[in-house]
Amino acid sequence: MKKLFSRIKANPPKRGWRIAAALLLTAVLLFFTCTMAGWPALSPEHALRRAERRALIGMEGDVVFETGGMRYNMNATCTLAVRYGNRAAALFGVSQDGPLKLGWDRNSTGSAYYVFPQDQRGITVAAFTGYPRYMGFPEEAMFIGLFHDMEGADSAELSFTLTGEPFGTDFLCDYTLSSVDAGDGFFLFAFSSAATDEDFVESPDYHPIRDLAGRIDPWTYSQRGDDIAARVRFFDAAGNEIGGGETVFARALLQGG
Amino acid sequence: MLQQHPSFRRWAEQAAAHIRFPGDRPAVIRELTEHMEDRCDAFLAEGLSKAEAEKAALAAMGDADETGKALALIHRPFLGYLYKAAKIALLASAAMLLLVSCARGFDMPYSYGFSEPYSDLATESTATHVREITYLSPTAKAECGGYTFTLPSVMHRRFYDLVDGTSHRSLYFVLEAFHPSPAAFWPEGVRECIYAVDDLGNLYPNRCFSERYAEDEGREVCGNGTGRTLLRYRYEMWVSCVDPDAQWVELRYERLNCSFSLRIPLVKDGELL
Repeated sequence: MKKLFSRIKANPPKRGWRIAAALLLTAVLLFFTCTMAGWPALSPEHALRRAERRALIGMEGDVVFETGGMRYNMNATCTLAVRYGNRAAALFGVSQDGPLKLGWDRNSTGSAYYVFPQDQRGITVAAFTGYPRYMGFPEEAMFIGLFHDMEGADSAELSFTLTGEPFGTDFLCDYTLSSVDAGDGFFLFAFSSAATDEDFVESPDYHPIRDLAGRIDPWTYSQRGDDIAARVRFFDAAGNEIGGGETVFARALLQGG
Repeated sequence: MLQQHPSFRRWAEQAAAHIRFPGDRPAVIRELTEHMEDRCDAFLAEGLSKAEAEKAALAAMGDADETGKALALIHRPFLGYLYKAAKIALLASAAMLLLVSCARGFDMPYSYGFSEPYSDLATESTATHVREITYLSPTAKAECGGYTFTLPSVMHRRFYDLVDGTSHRSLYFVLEAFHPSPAAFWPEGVRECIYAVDDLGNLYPNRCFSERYAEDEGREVCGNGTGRTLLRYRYEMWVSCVDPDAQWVELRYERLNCSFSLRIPLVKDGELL
């Protein structure tokens, strides 16, 4: 029996080496797969953390709001509102643009990340081109985010005036927007023209919207003139006004993506 | 030989049925059958008939189920399942690479490698312009946000316009960022927010903010990304309108809990460049 058993034996070293070789080759193939795919992030929040690291921000922000349900070029897109304590706030737009829809923000080119200083008065208003970049695709809506410390606020109203003289065309437009969505200490406003895509360039909103997009961009805002004043009003669930204040549109500290 | 004794094979299959990993059963069946063949040949050599030798060989093996259970106790199925899983993983990863490559059209996601720095800069003197070029090798190194920053190449240039008598001083440098993860990508915050100061207290703001902070028009820090490898990223950047008497320039980055600095001495062999 012992002799029988000694002959009937699996060959552990041979099989072990084969297992090790298969696993090593698998790891190599997966590495090349990820490289070809552009190392996409696994989720919008994972993409945000990468954007924070690329921007050399030494802290992780708290995601206070997340909206999805939008698509661009057949890719799902998502916008996150982020707070960095009481020092800064950010708006991050990211697209699920990995090959075969596997992952987000491949090659770090599928996102837009703007970081703004927080207003010490407790109300920070920041416009955001979203993803994709609004300036290149004027038919897309811009977002305006409102970070606040007002407890009990169920909705908000934002009023501002845009003026300018781009290319010799004067414009002075008053806007009053109502919040369309809310998060923890955050309200979202959508800012877009009522004109159709074909008529947008000729509409009276064209220059104001493009001007606002230019002002938030840290590479161009210095050429755009004074800060844009904004007035905010907060309302409770019953619709009663519970507070508000004056502020200015924040200018981005950082722009990534 | 195996076909001459189908009873051997049947016995071996009955015993091997107790082996938990099906992939190992053929090898066990083969070994048991060969062992019985050897025993049968030994009995034949002693003078038994073929039928008697076959019967004696089977009797010597004992009960098939008991033998099978004893074999199962010493057999380790784990390695067998692991090997099967490793083969499946290998095939799946190969298929995934093929699918992703097809989806990307077999294009690499980014260009790879570093180009020669300062290739677009004029460095030669002419009849009306004099350019004094000095290459420096600062040893400054800084870490921030998981990246390690170094200055592998710095070029100092003094430019004299012989026509109008003006002169300018500029620094051109390659800023390299290293990150141990290939998924880190470009540290974009650097290009937009890095600025510089010198020993005389002059500020060289990043071009993003130059209109707001620059006291001397033209003083700025700016640059572009110029290449990457798997773990390294390079920017070619410049500091323009450096003070003629500055002895060093320090690049600085400060944002939300993250800061670093890299100093570039502008003195060589005790003399101001």
